[in-house]
Amino acid sequence: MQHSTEPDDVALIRGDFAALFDRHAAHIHRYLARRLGDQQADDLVAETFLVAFRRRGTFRAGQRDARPWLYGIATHLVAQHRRAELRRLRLHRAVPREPDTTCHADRVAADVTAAALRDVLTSALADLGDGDRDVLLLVVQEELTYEQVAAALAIPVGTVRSRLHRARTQLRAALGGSNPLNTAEEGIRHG
Amino acid sequence: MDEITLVRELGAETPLPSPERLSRARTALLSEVAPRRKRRRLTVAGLAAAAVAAVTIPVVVLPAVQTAQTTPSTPATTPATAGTATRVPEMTAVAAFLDQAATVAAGDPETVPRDDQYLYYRTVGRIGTLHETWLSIDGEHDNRSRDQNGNYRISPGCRNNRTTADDGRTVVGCEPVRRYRPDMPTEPAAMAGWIRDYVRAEAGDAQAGDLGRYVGVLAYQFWMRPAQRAALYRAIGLLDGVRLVEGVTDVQGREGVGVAWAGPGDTAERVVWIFDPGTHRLVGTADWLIDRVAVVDTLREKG
Repeated sequence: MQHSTEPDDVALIRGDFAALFDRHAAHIHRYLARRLGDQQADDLVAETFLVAFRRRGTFRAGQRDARPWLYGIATHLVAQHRRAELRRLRLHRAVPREPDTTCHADRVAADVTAAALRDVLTSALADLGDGDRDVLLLVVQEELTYEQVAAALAIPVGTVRSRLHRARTQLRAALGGSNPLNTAEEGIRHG
Repeated sequence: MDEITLVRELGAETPLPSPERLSRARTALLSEVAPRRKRRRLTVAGLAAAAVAAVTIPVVVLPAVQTAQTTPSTPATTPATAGTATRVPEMTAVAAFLDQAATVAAGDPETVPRDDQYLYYRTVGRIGTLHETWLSIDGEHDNRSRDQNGNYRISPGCRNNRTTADDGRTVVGCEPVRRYRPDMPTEPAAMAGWIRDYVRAEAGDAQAGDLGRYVGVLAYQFWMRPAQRAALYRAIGLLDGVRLVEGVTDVQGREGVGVAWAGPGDTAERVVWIFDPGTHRLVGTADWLIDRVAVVDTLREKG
């Protein structure tokens, strides 16, 4: 595997779409898998790039990085599968992780606590507004900048900030408004 | 641990997919972006046509007014003299032009880069954006690039079959991409054969119909000795489907001579190269101008 520095995404979009796929597909697939699961991601990653290919004329030549554009298309596809996403988030909550019986008891306790928190978290994510969840996941999990998220979703940067703030506030409230994991860990450590 | 960390850790539970997992999607994409054409025997002409297609990295479909000015690949106005005992093969206009470009290129100073050097490119985009790239000649040293925002980035080379991914992970199994190929031929027909072998080695027989996308990098991302570049121009100039397009402009608005190609099934020609009409030098594409190409010693040197 070789990371080439040239040509940039603009050139690839105009002349070598397969290379654009090779450069970005893994991360777009992971984004889709995080939101909809591996099976859906397998289908939608292809659809994302096919849509991108058909709309390649809309890609602004001034942009060097195609990721925001591709994430925007992928997010639009996710929006067409909202029910599947919410079902997946609630499935997270319903299916406990398999305990690792080889772990030390404290570790098991910590895992259980983390799993419980994760259930609260996924439930809270499911309860977020769709646009707020889009922004939160693009910023936190995909590590896009506010400007890139704004470009991806075709919204102002200020809206990105307000959506992120709202999502964080809502998650904090769902998680107890304080620092529940630290409290739980301290309980295990000192209990 | 705050909510941001929790969300990040939730995301970390999903790994990047394997190439095998992506292969079906890739195949689906390729079937759309490069429809499978009737399987045909690979000929020198076919390969070279694919080579022209390959240089469509910066594809531009010409406006109708320019397309109308296309010079068809009919014989140029320099046929063999009547009554001559030996018939000289007629050259198309594009072949004649590229032959002249090859002659000019062949006269450049001979530079054979060392493995520890870099191929330096500086290009200028249509709105004046500047890109710079340093590519390791042997592919084992780090590469460097500068984007239009002035941000520099290092891309690790591949050493001992290992490289480093963007996220810092060590990736095993890479192969260094050499930017100078001493075995690249200096004769047009042999060049076409070399391209065929190169693509088969890179992509396999299954991708033979998509040769274009794989050999595109040859024109811009490999250092060629003068005779090698001349062979490339002449190989491409021999092909059906290649046209000379007059009246095109480069990114700075200067008039140039375009070399265009329309592949089977294409509805419009694509100008893939723009040459200076006076010097016969390749100046770039409709999207960017080659401002500087050089072999340099360090990742800081600009030739």
